Amino acid sequence: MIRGKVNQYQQALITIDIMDSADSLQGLEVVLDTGFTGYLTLPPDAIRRLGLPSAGYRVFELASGEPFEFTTYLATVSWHGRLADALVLQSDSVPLLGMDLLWDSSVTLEAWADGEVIIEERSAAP
Amino acid sequence: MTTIAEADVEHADLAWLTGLGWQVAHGRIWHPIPPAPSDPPANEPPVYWYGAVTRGAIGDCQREATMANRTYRPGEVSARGEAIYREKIRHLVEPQEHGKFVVIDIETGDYELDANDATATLRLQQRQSEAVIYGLRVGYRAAYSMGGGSLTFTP
Repeated sequence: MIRGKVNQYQQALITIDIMDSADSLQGLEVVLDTGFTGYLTLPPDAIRRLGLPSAGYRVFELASGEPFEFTTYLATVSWHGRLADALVLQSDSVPLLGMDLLWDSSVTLEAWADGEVIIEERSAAP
Repeated sequence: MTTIAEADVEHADLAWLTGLGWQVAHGRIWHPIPPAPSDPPANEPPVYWYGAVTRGAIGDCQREATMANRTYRPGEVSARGEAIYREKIRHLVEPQEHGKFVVIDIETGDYELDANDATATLRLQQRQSEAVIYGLRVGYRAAYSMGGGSLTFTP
């Protein structure tokens, strides 16, 4: 189970552990974003600090329908107690966690300041 | 255009590279060239420098050296990747692989297909360590969407 908080700016936040180039897990606070179909976005300084390797370029479709090319990187993250590979989009925005990582999870959030965020792995079908 | 000679990089340390604004990482990197007096005016699109990264050891520390070899303008990698996909790959994967990710080395045309983008990328990089990668999603106009944008199917 992954726990986080909703802040006063109406953002649901959790801390995710990302492996750096020395194979140490570094905790980074990210905002849950169900409007983002990828895994993670991180700003350039965080990508540099973690020493993430490049994954080339991807085109993202924005809310306006416009396609936009982004630089991407590869990261290993700790998710539901296991290590997983994740594509990281370089963006100057606040770090975001998208639907690709949330997929097959149950997300519960209390939509008020200091409310709880709980992410649980989807239980296997009986 | 500002360049860094391979010989300089071989003798560089991480602080020297990062001090110049270079991103140092395992694998391949993209980063803007530091501005120089001979660079084009600011209203022209910036040039990005592609550097393949190799790893070496200094004492107990791992370090990476950057060997500069190609330049691509913004949009050039995706344009070349889309062209390769249309001409060489699309008829092999559509419609049966709809929704999966194709990652292409735009310099060799080599590619990988997988339901997971990161898995396909790692597999291609194992085979093509110098790959310049463009990734797309079979049957969609874009690989991902942001800000609630809907993923549009390719006509």
